[in-house]
Amino acid sequence: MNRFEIIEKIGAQHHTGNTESGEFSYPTALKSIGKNIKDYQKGNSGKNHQYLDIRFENERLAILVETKNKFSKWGKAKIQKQLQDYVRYEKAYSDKRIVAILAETDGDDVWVWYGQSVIIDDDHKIEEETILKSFEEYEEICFGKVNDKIKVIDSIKTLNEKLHSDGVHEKLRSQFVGTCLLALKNGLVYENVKETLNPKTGKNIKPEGVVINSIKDILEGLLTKGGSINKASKLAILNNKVLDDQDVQSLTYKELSDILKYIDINIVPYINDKNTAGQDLLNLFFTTFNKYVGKSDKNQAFTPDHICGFMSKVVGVNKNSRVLDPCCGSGAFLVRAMTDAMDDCETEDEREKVKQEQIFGIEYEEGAFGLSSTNMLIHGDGNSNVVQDSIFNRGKWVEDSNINVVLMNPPYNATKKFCDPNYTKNWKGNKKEDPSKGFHFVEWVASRVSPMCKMAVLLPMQAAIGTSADVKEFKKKMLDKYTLDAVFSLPVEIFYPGAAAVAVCMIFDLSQKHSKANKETFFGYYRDDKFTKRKGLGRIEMTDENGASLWVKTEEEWLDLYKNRKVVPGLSVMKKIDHKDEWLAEAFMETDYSNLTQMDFEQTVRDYYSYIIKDGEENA
Amino acid sequence: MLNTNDWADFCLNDLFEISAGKYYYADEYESGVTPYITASAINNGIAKRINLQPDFKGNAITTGKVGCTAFYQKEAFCATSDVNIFVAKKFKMTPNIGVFITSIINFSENYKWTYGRQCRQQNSKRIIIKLPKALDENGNPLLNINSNYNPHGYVPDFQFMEDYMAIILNDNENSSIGRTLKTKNISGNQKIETSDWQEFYLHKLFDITMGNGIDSNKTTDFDPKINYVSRDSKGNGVVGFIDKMEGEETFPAGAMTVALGGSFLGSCFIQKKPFYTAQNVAVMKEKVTLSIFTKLFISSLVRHECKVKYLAFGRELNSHIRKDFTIKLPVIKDENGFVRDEEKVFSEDGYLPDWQLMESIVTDLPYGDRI
Repeated sequence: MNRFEIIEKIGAQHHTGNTESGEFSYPTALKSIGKNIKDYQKGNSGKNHQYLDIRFENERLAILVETKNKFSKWGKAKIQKQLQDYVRYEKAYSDKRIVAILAETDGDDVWVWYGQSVIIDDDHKIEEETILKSFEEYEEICFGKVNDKIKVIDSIKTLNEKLHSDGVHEKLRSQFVGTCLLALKNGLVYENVKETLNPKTGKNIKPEGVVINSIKDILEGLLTKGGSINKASKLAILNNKVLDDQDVQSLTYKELSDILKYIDINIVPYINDKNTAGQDLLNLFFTTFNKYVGKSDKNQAFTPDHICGFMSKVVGVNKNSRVLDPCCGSGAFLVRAMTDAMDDCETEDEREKVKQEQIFGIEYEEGAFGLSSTNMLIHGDGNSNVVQDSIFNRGKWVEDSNINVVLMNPPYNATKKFCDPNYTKNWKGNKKEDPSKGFHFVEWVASRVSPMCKMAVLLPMQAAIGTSADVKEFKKKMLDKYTLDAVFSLPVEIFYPGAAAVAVCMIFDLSQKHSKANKETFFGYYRDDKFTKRKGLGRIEMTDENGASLWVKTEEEWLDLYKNRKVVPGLSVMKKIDHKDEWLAEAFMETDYSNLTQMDFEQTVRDYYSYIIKDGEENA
Repeated sequence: MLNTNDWADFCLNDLFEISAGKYYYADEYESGVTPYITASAINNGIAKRINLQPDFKGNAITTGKVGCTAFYQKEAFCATSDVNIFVAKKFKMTPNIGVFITSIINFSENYKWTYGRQCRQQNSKRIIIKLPKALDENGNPLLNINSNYNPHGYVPDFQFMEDYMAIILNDNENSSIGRTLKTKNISGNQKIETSDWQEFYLHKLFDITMGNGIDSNKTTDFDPKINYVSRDSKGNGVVGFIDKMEGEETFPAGAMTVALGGSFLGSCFIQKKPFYTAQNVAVMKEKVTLSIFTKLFISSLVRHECKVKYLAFGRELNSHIRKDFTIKLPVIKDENGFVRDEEKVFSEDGYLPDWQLMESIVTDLPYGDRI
C-alpha cells in the first residue's frame, strides 16, 4: 500500500502533517508546547528519529504510522525501536490514546500496537490486526461506544433483579458479582459441572459447591501470584463474607450457573485493557450496583469515574507517580491512576513497577475494602499496597511510601470514631460529626506526604465557603503551609443517586505556603459535564447524534482552561485569595452582560403576568 | 441585544433596604389571602396563602436564598426566613422598575447560588448588578455624590427602566408580548345555570385512545421535534420536547389529553402541537369539529368530574374513560323543549350538545378573548 492509499484508508480528514512533505516533525510539535525533544530521546536509539511518516489525530486519539518498503529488508528490532521512539514523543506531546502502526509500502503487511502503555515489541503486538482500518474503527477499538456503557448499565440492572429474586442480599451483590467477574475473567468453568467426590471427606459435593470452590481457588491463586500483603485477610473478606454467606451458599446450581452465564455474556466482553471503555465500565458497574443498596448506605459519595479520570489528568498522573488514595472506597481513583500511569509506560518492567510499588490505598470499611481489592485484581492486580485500616494509624506507612500524588474524596460527615483522635479529643461533648467537613483528613494527609506532592481532593461546597469555625481554621492551616492551585465547582448532582452533597475539587501544591507562592488561584465553574439523570440508571453520558460522547470534548475544554489558565466568562476566573475568601468560582466570576437581551426581561414579565393571571386578576 | 457597555455597577444595598423574612410554623396559620413567600422558584415565590397579617408591604422585590430567584411582589405579604426582601430606598419603585431589576438580578445571580451556597441576607447586601446610568442633557453621566448609589456618584436611570418595560408591555402590534397580556373581559362570579344540562358519555363525544405509552427513559432529544405529554398538571401536560421515534405515530395538534392516573389524575389539556404521550395518558379526538373554546370548556368539566368520582392510586381512570365516564353539557333547545337527534350520535336520548353556547361562555371569560 503506498503512502497515499494509507492516508485514504485511515482517513485524510484526520491526517496532520506539520512539514511540507506531510510528515510529522516531533521537534517542531514539542517545541510548540515548550518542550525539548532532547529530553525524550534515549541515547541507545542509535540514530535519533524525529520525523514520523504519517500521523492522524482527533481530540482523543492519535494514530502513528511509520512506513517501510518491505519488513523483511529491515531489522525488526530496529524499526520497532524507531516506532517506540515516536510513541514516547507522542506521549510527551499529547494526552491522547495511541495506535502505533508499521506498514509496508511495497507489500500489504501491517503490524499494529494499541492498548495500555503501547509497548512496541513482538509480545505486545496485536496479532489479530493484519489489515489497516479506518480512523473510526480504531477509535471504537480504543474507546468503545457510549451506547455500550448504557447497555452494560442496563445489564447490571437486570442482573440486580435476578439476584434479588434469587435472594442474594443487597449488601452482598456488588462484591459477589465482582468476585464472579474476576473468576470468569480467569477461566472459571461453570457449565456442565458434575457432582464430585471430596477427596478429603469422601462425601459428595454438589455441582454448585464445586463451582464455589473453583471460584475460591482462583481467588487464592490470584492473591498469591500478586504477592499481596495481608492475603489472608483479603481472602477472609472475599470468602467468608461473601462466598460462605448463606445467601450465596443456598443458591442452586441452576441459579448460580445462570448468574455466571449472564455475567459472562453481558459484562465480561466489555472488560479488557485494550479499551478504555472497559475501565470505565467496571467502575460504572460498582457505582451502578451501589445505587441499589439500602437507605443507610445511600449517603455514600462514590466518585463517578469520569470525575476520577478528570482529576487524575489534572494532577498529571504518569509512570513516575506514586499515588495515594487514603479513603479509597471501591478503588475508583486507584484504578484510574493505575491505568493512567500504565498508559505512560514503555516496558513491561515499568508496568510491573507501577502495579507493585506505586499505587497506595487505605480503606477503613470492610465491604468497600473488599470491593477495592476485587476492582484492582480485575484490572491486573496492583492491589498489593491497598490496606484495611484507619488512615490515622498509618502515618508512618504514608510517610515511608514517598507519595507524590494524592487523589482523595474523604467522608464529609464522618462520625467521631472515623476521625483523627487528636482532633476529636478537643470536640465538645455533644459533637457527633466531623465539623471540618472532611477537611481534617486532607490536612492530615498533606502533612505526611512529600512536599513535591500534588493533591486533588473532593470536598463538599461548605468546605470551600467556610462559614463554620472549624472549616475556617483548616482553610487557614492549609494556606499557611501549602498553595491553593485551583478549585473547580462541579455538577450539582454529581453523586446522584447517592449523597446529595454538592462537591468541589481542590488542587493543592504542597511545595510552599500560599502567600509565598503569591499567585492567582484558578477557579473553574465546571457545572455542566454533559451527563444527564436517568431514572434507575443514575447519571449517564450524553452523546451527539453520531453517538460520540459529549463528555470527551467537555473534559478537554476543562483541562485546557485549567492548564493554560484561561479566563472565560461563565467558565473560569483567576483570583488571588486568602483563607477568609470563598474558594469558589461563583464568588468571583463576572456575569457577561453582553449576553443580556430583551428576552431576559420578557421572561420575567411572562412569569410575573402568569402569576397575576393565575391568581385571578386582569391587566395588572 | 442591549447595549450595556455604558451601564454602571450598583450595589443592591445602596438601592434597597434589605431584610430577611420571618418564618411561621404550619400550626401558626390557616389558609387565607396573604401570600406566603418561600424560596420556591415558581409561582412568583408564593407557596401558599395564609390568614396572617402581612409583615411586608407590597411593591418590593423578594429573593429566595437557595438560587437567589428574584420576584417582584405587588401585594403585601409574609415571607419565610429563607427569603430576602428588598424595599426601595431613595427612589420610587414601580412595577416596571421592579420587574426590570428583578430580571437583572436573575440574569446575573441565579447561576452563582445553589443549595450548597445560599444567598443569605448578608450575601444579598453585597450583590452588585449593572444598571443603566442616568445622563444629563449633554449626555454626560449625572452625578449625585449625596445619593450614594454608586462610589462615582452615578445614579440609576429609573426613567429608562420604566420606558423600556413600557415598550415591552405596550399594547400594539409591534410588541411581542404586550398584546397577549391584555384582556377586555372582566372576571365575574356568576353562577352558571346547569339544571337542564344533560349527561353524555365522553366516548360518545370523542374518539378516545390510550396514547403512545412511551417510557420517558426511551426518549431522546438530539434534534427534538415533538412534544411529549405526561401526567402533569402544569405546562399543558407537556413535560418534554423530544426526537421523532420510529414506529410511533404522533397525535395531531388540537387533540386533547387526559391524565388517567397519578397525582394529577384528570388533568385535561388541548395540545397546540403534534405530540406523543407517556403511559396512562389518554388522547381524545373530536368526532365533529370543535373550536378551541368548546374544548377548553369540556376540559374544565373533565377535570371537575375527576375531583370526586375518581382517585389517584385508587379508582383511576383507565377502566372508566372509554366506558362509563360522563360529563353534563348544555344542550340545544327550541321553543318546544329539547331538540332531539334521530341518529342519536352523541346520546342515547338524542340530546345535542350546544357547542355554540359552550364557546361563548369561554370567549366571555377574562383572557378568553386573547386565545
